[in-house]
Amino acid sequence: MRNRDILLVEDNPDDQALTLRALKANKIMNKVVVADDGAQALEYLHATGRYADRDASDLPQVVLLDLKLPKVDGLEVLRRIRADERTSLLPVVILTSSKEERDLVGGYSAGANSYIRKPVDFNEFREAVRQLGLYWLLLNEVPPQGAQPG
Amino acid sequence: MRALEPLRRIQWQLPLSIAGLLLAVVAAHSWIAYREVRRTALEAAGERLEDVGRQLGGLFAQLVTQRTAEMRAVAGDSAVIGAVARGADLQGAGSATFERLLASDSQVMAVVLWDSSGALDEVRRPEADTLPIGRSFPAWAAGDSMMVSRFLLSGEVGWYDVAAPVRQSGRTVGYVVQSRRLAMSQQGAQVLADLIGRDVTFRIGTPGVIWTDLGGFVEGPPAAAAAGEGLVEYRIEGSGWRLGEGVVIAGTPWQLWVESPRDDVLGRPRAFLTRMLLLGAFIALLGALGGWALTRRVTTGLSQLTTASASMAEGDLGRRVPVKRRDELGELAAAFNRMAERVEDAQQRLEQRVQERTAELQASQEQFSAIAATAHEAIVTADAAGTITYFNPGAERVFGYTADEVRGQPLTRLMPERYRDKHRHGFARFLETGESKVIGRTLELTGLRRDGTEFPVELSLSSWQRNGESAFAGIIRDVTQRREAEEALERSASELQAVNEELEAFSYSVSHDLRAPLRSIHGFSQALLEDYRDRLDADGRDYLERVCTAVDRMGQLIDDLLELAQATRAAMRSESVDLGAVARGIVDELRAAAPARQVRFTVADDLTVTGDARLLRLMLQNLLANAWKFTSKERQAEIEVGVGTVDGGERAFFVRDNGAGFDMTYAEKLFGAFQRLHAPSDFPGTGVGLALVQRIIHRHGGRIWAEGAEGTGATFHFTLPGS
Repeated sequence: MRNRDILLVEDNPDDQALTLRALKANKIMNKVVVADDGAQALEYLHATGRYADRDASDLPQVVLLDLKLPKVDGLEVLRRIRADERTSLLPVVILTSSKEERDLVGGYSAGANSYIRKPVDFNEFREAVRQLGLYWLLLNEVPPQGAQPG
Repeated sequence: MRALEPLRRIQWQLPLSIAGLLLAVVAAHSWIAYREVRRTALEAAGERLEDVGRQLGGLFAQLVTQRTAEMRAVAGDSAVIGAVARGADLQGAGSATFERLLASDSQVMAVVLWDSSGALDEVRRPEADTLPIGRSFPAWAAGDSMMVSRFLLSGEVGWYDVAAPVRQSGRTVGYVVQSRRLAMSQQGAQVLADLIGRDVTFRIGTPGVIWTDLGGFVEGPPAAAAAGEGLVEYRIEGSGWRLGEGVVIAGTPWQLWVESPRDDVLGRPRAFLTRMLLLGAFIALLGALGGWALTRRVTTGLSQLTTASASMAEGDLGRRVPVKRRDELGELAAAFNRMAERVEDAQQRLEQRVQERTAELQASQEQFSAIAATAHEAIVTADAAGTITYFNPGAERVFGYTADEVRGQPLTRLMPERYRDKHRHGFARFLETGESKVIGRTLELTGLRRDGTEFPVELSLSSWQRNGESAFAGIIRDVTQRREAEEALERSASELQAVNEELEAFSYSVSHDLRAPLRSIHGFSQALLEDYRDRLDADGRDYLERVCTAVDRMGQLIDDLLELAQATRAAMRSESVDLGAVARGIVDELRAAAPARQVRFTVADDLTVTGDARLLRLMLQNLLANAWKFTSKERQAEIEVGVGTVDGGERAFFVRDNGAGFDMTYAEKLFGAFQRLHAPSDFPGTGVGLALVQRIIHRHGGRIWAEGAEGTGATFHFTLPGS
């Protein structure tokens, strides 16, 4: 496992806790940065605001993005991620409870790499996280640091 | 019948032509004949005159010869010769000779003896004393050719001289001249007239001196005539035309003129001509009459035909012409009759057809009237000027006017003020160009009632041509109610839309917000179970597990509910779906999820339907999942998907299983949402599945029903119309 961070964008504290728990249960050791809302997530990614002194080129390995967020909506966050050259290639996994078709389509249209539905059953959720981790952290080839779209 | 001018009528023309022709022929002929006869007559007259002339001429010549002979005898008398020789007057015997001569003939007025020096001696009657006799030497006689002088006139006396030369020893030494009075007497003239005939008159004389017919002095012939050769025609003032001829009397210088009144000569030819002409006229008349009679026959026939034709033209088709003759007129009459026959026949047929058509038209007219009169809608017709010509009872009802009030009024009366100008413009444009935005279409406009209220109308307008003029008809419907209904419907629709949108938002929210807490409950319960396992007793663990189970169930319920709601809401697409293929796919998934199970699955062929692929899949998924679920306790589960027919010939698909089945008593409850006929411990489920299936089938317009028996199995039938 590469030791890059995972950015978790999730407003619900319960869901935050449970996700972290699932990651830990699956022995995923990457540091998880939690953003409570879209704005914070963007600040982190673009190294602005409260993260101004962060190294902007140090991007997470994967972004786990919930859709229903306060202030800036999940899809909008995604669009802004994609819109910025620095982060446009960043792998983003939408992790949300919504099964709505329009979210699905919207997500992919906005450039999400993957769309996972959060199951209610925690065991299932844990299993889903395991598979997520396996794939995105181990298998998937990430674009190199500082890469720009060609 | 229009009267023909007389001269145009054949009836006149032909006889006149014949008469004319005959007259012309006769006239020409007569004229030629007349000329010939005339010529002949004139020739004859001429000959006669010649004859007479010759006769008379001869007579006079004879007379003259006698006299000259007489004088020669005297001239030969020796006494006379002696006297001339001596150059002295007559002596004894000579004188006696002269005296004897004088006494023997009363006509002798004087006898004179001449020699070259002059008159030697003479004897004279006392009445001749005044006459210029013996004064001039008869030089005229010197030539020997003429022994007679011209006629001489003195006063009332006319005479002539007869001379004879006195010769001595072969030489002419003198002359003896006898002066004779012209003997004119009635008897003499008469005798001569008798001699020569009454048709010819003569005169004898010396031109410029005297003329006599021996009855008295007369006028001589006109100089021009006298100058002519041969037979001359000339005219005398007051007496008419004459034929005359000059005759030379041999041995004299006298002129003899014989003449006849020409008209006498021409009398017969003229009479001939007249007769001929009369004859000709008569012939012509006969000819005319004959022609008249002939043409009469023809024109009678023709006028019969004419009157018959005229009365046919007037309408009397039964007229026929009697066919009496065998000639062209007869043929014409026969042909006319045939034609009349045909015409009459055709007319009858035509009338019959007209009657039929009229009846049809009548019926159609009545039909239209009935339609228009009973129609619920307003029917209004207008003319090219835009004034109302017809206003049916429906219109009366809709607009509130009576037909009488509104007939003759302009159409604009029926619309609000603000639309009138536009109407007029459009109307005028249509009349000019034939284009219209309104004609032939149905429009929604505003109408104006009698009481001044406006109301929405639907107008269908049409136009047609009649007698070259445009006419218009409009069907007007008062759509107030419909409009209100439409508006209500629109409101309902927008409300519905609003509700749907709310629902949309709601279920979106549900999808997220309801699950999140569930996740938390489940997650932390699980966390408790895991992390605090050793600090919990069996009950504690049990409770937590129940919590998790309940949460699972709730999650499932939420999902199912969402699905149900979405199935109702989502727009349906219509496509061709192979239910068989879909079913096989679903069963494969089920098998994959539970590979241990033994299930025999049969799918019929040709299960193609028309409907929304996604919804139909969902529907089959639920049915097959149910079948899978309820056969879970069978050793050899059987699931079948097929198609049959129900009464009415409709295709009814079915999904049959040999599983737990159900009690038919509770069949109605099967499709109710959340209704379950089995305990969740027996067979899991939320009870929403079948409700969803039903919803989907109903959305496709089909129906669904179930048959089952407890322990035997269940069959779910459904129809999908439009397949």
